[in-house]
Amino acid sequence: MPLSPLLRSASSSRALHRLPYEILLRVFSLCNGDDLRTLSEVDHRFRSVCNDSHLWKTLYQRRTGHVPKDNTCSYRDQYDQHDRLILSITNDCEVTHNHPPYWDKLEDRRSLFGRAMILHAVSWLHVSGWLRGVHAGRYRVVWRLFILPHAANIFDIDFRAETSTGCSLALTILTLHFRHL
Amino acid sequence: MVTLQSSDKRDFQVSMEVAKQSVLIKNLIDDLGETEDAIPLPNVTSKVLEKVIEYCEHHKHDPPVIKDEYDDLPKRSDDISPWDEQYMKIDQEMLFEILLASNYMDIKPLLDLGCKTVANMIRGKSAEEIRKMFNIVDDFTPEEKEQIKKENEWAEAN
Repeated sequence: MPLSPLLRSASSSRALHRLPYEILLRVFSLCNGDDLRTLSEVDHRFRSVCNDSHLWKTLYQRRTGHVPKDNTCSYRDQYDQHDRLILSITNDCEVTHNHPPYWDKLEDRRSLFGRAMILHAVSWLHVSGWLRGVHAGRYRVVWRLFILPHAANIFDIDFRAETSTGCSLALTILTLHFRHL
Repeated sequence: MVTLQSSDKRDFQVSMEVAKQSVLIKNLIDDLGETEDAIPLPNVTSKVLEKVIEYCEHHKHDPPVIKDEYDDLPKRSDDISPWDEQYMKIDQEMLFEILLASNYMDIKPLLDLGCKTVANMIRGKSAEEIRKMFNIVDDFTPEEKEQIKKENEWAEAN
């Protein structure tokens, strides 16, 4: 008996599942961490591909430009740490007047990086940093800074996120986290 | 000229430079020397082989692919040329047939083009949208779903 058209279309459009593991791995390697988290929720087959450590190693190398460390935590955990795309002002940013009496570095456990910069006094300053290896997509950009109680006169704060040529930033939402200590 | 034979026994005459874009055929010719006989491709139907040859014809003057320092996986999916994009305007069934054929015939640029096309289809979509698009059945038990949700929440919060 010939297959009904409905059954035939169902079997043919399940073609993605007929693809061998290596091809799915190639496809998934073009995705980022968020995509892979979604893909691992699709079904068991996709989930097993998403758990392939080689895949996370590739993603890590593409993002950072170097090989992840063996024998510490999994490649996936190492990728996740980088997937946050956090720049530390102490490690990754360029700052004008980057020396006392204007700026100081200080140990601060509240920072993810364990260190923070403290601004003492300056009439103007310029801080900037670059994120590299960022996939095209929508991002929420968050700046975080603490304001000390005696810092009464702060005005004209201008935060911007820009993309360099060749990148497409679909949407930028700028959120500022001010917190009085 | 080289003759390629599809699984349904159709012969296709192509030039050497077109045929050699397939590493499978290139190795065969390099090992056995040029042959008058048709080279059988038992895994590729004439419909798919025709489409594959169209790609190889268009790309016959492309410079050879440079091997990457750490792996041979494609780097990004947003660098598809206009001709390739047009070429890939095909139904899902053909898209997957091309993936299988380029994998079997070892035509890396075509394989990567197919992978990029699929990646662009799935990126940014929800799990439900992906299931719907490819007609995939959700085969997780409610317990497994709960587990996955927990894991992903953990990853978000971390």
